[in-house]
Amino acid sequence: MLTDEPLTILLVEDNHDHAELVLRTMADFSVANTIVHLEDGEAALDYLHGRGTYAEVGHHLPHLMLLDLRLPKVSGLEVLKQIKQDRKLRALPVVVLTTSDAERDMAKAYEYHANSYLTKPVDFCEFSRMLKDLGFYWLAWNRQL
Amino acid sequence: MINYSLEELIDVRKFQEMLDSLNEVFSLTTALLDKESKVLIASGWQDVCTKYHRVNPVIKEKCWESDGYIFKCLNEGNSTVTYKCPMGLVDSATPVVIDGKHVGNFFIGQFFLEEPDLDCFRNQAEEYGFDKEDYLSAVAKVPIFTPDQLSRNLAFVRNLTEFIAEAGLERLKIIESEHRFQAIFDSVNDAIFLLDAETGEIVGVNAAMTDMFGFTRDEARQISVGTISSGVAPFTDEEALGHLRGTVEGDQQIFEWHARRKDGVLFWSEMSMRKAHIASRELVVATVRDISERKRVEEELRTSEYRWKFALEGSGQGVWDWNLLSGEVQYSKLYREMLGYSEAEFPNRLEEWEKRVHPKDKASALEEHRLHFENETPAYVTEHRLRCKDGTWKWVLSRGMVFSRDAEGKPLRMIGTHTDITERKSAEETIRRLNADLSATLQAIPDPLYEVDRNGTYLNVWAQNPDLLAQKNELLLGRTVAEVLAPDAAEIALSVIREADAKGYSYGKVISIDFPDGTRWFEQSVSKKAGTDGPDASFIVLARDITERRRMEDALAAREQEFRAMIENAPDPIFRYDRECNRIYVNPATEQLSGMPASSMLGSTPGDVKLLPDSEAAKIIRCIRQVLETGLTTENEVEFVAENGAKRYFLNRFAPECGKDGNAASVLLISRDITALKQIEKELQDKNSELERFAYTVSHDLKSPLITIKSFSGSIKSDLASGRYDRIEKDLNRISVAADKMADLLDDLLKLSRVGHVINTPEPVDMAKLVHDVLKNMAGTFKENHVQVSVQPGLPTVSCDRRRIMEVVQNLLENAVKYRGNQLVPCILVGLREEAGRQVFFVQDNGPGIDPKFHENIFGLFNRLNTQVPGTGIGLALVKRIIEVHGGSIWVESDGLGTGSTFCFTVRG
Repeated sequence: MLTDEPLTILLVEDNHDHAELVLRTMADFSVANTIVHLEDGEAALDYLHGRGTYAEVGHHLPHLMLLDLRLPKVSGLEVLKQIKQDRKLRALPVVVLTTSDAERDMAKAYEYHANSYLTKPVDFCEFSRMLKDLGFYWLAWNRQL
Repeated sequence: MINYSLEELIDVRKFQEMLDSLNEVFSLTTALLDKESKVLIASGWQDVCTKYHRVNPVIKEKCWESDGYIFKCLNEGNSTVTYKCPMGLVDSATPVVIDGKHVGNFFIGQFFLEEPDLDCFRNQAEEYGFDKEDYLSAVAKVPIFTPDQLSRNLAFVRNLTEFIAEAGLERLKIIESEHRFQAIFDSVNDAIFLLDAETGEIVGVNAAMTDMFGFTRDEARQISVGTISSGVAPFTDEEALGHLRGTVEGDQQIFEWHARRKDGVLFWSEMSMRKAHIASRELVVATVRDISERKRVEEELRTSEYRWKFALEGSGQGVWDWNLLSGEVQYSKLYREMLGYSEAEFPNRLEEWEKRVHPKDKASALEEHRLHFENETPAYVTEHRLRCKDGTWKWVLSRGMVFSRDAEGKPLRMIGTHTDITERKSAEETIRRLNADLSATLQAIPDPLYEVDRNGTYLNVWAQNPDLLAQKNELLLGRTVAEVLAPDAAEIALSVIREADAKGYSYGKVISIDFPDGTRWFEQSVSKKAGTDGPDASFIVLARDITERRRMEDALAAREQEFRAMIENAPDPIFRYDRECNRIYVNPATEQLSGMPASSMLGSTPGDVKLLPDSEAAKIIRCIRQVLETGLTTENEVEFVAENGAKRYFLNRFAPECGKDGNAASVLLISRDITALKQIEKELQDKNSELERFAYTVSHDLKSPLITIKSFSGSIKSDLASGRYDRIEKDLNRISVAADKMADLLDDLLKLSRVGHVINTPEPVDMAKLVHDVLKNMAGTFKENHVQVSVQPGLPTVSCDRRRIMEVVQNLLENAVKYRGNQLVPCILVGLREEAGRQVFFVQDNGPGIDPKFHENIFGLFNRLNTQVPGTGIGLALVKRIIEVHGGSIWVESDGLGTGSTFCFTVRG
């Protein structure tokens, strides 16, 4: 990765409020240059493969993906599974960001090779700090290496 | 005594060596001469004699004179002669006398008894013209013996002479004995061979042998025993060596031998072999006697006997010919064949017969011999058993007669025959055994047995237990059944006799007889006696006491009835299967359940009558087999669809019914209808899994607005702190919406939870009216959103919970409006169509349609396809729940985006 390349985060989240929280936090800490927000699993896969509505925009590989699990049309787990099975996409770090703290969701996510699994904290400050750490870890720190 | 020479008596060579040694040591000149003065041995003659005196023609004469004188003295019996010869030398001689015979003389040669007078010898040298010097030195070599020395020398010579005499005598005796032996050896008429005990090599033969076989003695030493044998087995070299070994190891052997002469002529001989120790050597002396003549006579005799024995054998009889003197018995070929022996296995000895006679028959057979030998009986006749080679016994009839006796009347020879009578004996034995068996059987039968005639008159009575007879034995005989039995019993008794008269037998009829201790029942088995018919016909009647059996049967029948009553009235279907898995019993409950008569189900396996699908019938058969095999009870469950289409479940219990051997003889199957139980079980299961799903989704969906509320509250706080007010209002609104959403969620969840148990009793509901009411409620919504709604006329009346179905219709219509998309002219049609005999209601829209891959998902709790439109994700889950509670089903039909959607449902119950 080149340090001067613009950083892109793909956020897949159907809850507008939660998306706003992410966007706001990311902006506060200026972690990334671009955040692409999509609302369902199908759109996320189309975006990554550059197909459907994104056929004209072309193929995009973001630097990090934040993925909710409960998504309309195609579930977050299914999206994760497809990414990690695809040779072109599997290098993309996928961080699951969900309200669910159910054991089986976490187990499934890691089984499908999620890079991280994070439960959305109820407290705003905590939410912010968490996203900041996450951003630094996956984008800034990794880039320095 | 024979004549012999000294030369024959001594070993000249050895004796010469001995004397040579003597000469070397003592310069003792010696000589041994025989009676004819032949010098046998000469040792160490003095040069003075050999070189001068005895070669001088004049002195030689004197020497001979001297010799002659000494001989003469010795021959006159003088034991020792010492003589000084004219030439001045001294000789001494002693005679050799062996066994009183003077056979030769021993000399001790020239010596002096005193210092020689050398002048005298010098003179002699001059006189006869010898070289003086040489002559004198030769004289100097001659030893001088003192008289003492001479006497010792003479003693030695005497001893030597004695030694020679003894040795000569011994040899003489041996030679004499050999001459005597050879004379006897050669004078015998039989040929004699001396054979080496080890090798069988011929080491000597006698003169008779050369005559008998035509070989010279020298030739005989070159041949082997085989050369003088016919060579045809058993007269071979090998066999002869066998006899030789037998002789060496044991006793004398005497055997007949077919011998061959040098010229090839064969003849019969009798050979006798005996061990002998001759001259330190193990030898076998074989004496051969020509028996050709004896053989010829024997052969002639045999031929004549052979003729009549052959005739006897032709009649199937074995022949034996007993020589009482030798104990030899000639057994004929057939005699042996009858018993399965070969000649080698049954040699011609009386012991062979004795060995094989059955121990029980032997004494009587030998007694018969004795009686006949003593003329008590005109002939010997016995029947006895003989053991065959295969171990079986054969009965023979042995007949014989003595046909030669000695002067005192003692039998010498007896001839007889053997006839095989085994078959006759075995038939006799069979009859005897049958009789024995029959009487034993009759004794063993516990039931009374009668013989009656066709009128029912008792002819014979056999009874182990007289208590079972209607009358005492002796009172029965001669009387008829009519006189003895009660009229009805007598009638049955006579009828069975009539039946047996016609058919030959009658079984199973029962008569009762009253005894003091109660009535007893007898089962009559009657058989007509073979060989009797017409008025003389008689019948054997066996009357079996079956009183106990009847009592048991009655008890059993009572138990059976109890059991039957229980099974027949049991509400559960009960089957009984035999070992081949065929139904042998079904109870009325089974008939009721299957709607089939018992008769159509019996005798077939579970799969044959279509009570169950094949897979379930196979399960039953497996269980029956398992029970038959293990003898243990087991259980299984089967399910099938009843005629009315409803699924039914049965729990089957299989129990073994053991037969006499303790193994399962049949299997009882008790089947219990557990359909209701199953339904409850299934509902419980469904509920549980739904509850789990519910809890999972609820926790997630309720948490979402909570996060919104808390997070934005936090955000507002920090905004307020930093004096940033631009987005506070917007954030507050977010909080408010999230709170509303939580309220909606809780409301809907409550509704959903009620559906399962809060349902009103179904009632006939006019669907047209119901739809109309819903439309009226929603008129505002439709108007607001410019939606056109039409309803098919003629919607039917169905039985259902009106309020719930209203909720369904309303929910579907609300969805159609909510998710109409960007359709400019949204239209909704509510209608009904008939499909496979079902009434299918539908709500159709012309909205964006739903991708077929989501058709299942959308009915799931909190599953939402579109998050742009507000909603809780509970609506369709609720609708589905209501429809399912009614026993109907709901689904969506849509070809995908842009084709509109049709939600269909059926209502039942």
